[in-house]
Amino acid sequence: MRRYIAQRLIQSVLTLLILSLVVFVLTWVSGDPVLYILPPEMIDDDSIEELKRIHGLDDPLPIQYLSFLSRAVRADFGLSTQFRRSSAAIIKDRIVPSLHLGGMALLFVLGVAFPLGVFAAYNRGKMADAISRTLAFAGQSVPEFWLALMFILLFAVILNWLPAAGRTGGWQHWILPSVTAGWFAMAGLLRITRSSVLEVLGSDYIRTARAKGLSERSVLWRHTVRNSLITIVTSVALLAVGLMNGIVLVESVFGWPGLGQLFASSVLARDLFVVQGMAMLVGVMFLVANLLADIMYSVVDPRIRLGT
Amino acid sequence: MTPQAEVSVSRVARSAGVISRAYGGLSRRNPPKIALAVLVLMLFIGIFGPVLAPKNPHVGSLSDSLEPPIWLEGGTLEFPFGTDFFGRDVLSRLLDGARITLVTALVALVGSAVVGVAVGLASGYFGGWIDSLVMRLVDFMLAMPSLLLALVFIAAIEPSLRAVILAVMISGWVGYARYVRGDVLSQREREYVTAAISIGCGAPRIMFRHLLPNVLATVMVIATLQTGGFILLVASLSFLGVGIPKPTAAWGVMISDGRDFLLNGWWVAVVPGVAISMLIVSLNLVGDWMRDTFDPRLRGL
Repeated sequence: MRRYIAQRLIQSVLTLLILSLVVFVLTWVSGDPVLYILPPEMIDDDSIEELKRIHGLDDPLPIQYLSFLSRAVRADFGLSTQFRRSSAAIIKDRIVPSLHLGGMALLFVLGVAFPLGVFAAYNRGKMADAISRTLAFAGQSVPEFWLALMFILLFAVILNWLPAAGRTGGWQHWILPSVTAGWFAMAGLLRITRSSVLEVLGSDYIRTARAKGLSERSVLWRHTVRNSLITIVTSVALLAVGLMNGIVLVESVFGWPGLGQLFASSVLARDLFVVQGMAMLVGVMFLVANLLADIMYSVVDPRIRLGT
Repeated sequence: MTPQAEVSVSRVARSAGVISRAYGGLSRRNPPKIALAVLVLMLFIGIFGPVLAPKNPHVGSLSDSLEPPIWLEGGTLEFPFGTDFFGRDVLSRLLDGARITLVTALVALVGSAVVGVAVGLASGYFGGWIDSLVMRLVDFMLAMPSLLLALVFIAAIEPSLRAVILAVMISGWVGYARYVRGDVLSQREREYVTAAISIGCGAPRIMFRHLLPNVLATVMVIATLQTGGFILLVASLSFLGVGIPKPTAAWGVMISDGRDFLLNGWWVAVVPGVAISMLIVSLNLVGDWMRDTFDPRLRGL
């Protein structure tokens, strides 16, 4: 186990190096970085030369890459052209709101999709099953940003039950953003839960459990759900991807001051240093998440031996 | 063996594979007729939409600003789906935008399929370090959110139609590569490949003349299942303002135009959203059906 984790850590560092190379190359694809650093009114030959000298942009590319790398390790990505502040500081300010939104969305995803999926599979072919299948299907077919607008239209404009935007204020402000951010992931998990529970329900050991007279509750929760957990855990990484996409879109719709909104607006403003920092941050987050998911497999299913 | 014999060997193997997959004891479902009808309609609109549009989709009169659709009080036949803030006819914009919406998705789809299939064929056929390298990359790409990858890419180059298509392709090829590789791994051991090798076919010939026809069913199913996701991704990028550049009336752009008028002109955002949702629902229904009929192993997709 320990050896496996060490191996995976080394792999992750390698992947990060590749990611950093890609991010570094992207700056060069985009044209001369000097033009992004200087304010437009200061662009003339003298100041460009001066700036190149200060930032080491005259150095050969490999050396520039190394210096980018050493600054990236210290979370220094340069000044944001949009806000004239350190990119890292701007990103840092946005992390907490996004974590809040992500956490709430995850609660929604797990709280709805998992019980509903189990219930639908157990009552296969009945009304609840039909409803949950429709929900799973519709959830993956409707654009999330449009759904957010429709929720605002229905619950804020027409019914006037919930506020349409914002993060400060009561719990009411959190409902619409977290539900829409988790919608796509919820649909995915619902589908996966239902099909994996169905698969286990059809297996021989469930028939045996029933035949030896176990109570239905025990059959369902101790034998079925527990064994279907492995498939569900396997799909957690996919859910995280869906959740991230959702957060980027939903933050923009609801004016939620998080990473997603920052990312979208930085791309729009071509604020490259912020985009670089965000790309590295997302890369690290996903490597950590995947590592955790792999370790969780062996916790959920002891038959899986890691590192052999 | 003569070249003719070689052709007939591969043709027999090919048709046997396709037939057994399509009819080999699977539970065959009825095709989703409504969804297919919607797709045909969308295709029709995509081809003839700009001609059918009754008004100029890009120019309106400000005196017609936010006219309600026909089923609301004050709606007129002149603007069946109402007008947007600039007085542009929503119906005309919808018809006009269908083409760009479909074309973007289709070009990205074909591009992704070509890249993904080529990578998958090479990875499965050659194995070795090529295979491990490709699979590492595939795993990495699957763990990254497609929207974020597309955004990073667009940040680096100027937002444009070409940038959008390339940005979608960045994550689009992965699905093909993964499943085609799996297919090739099992096909590689079949007799017809051994036969082809023994009569001296080169690697490109075996990959493209012999293996490719046998993985086409998989490719078709993945393509249909993926189109909906591509349209979603393009619409999301347009909504965030870095997708298909304005004033082109792509449906995602129309929804984004309508977000500021939910209070007094909700139809501007609702109408294109309904159209896009219908399109994606239909694509997903047809895709599910094709998967169940032609390639049920892809259920996990």
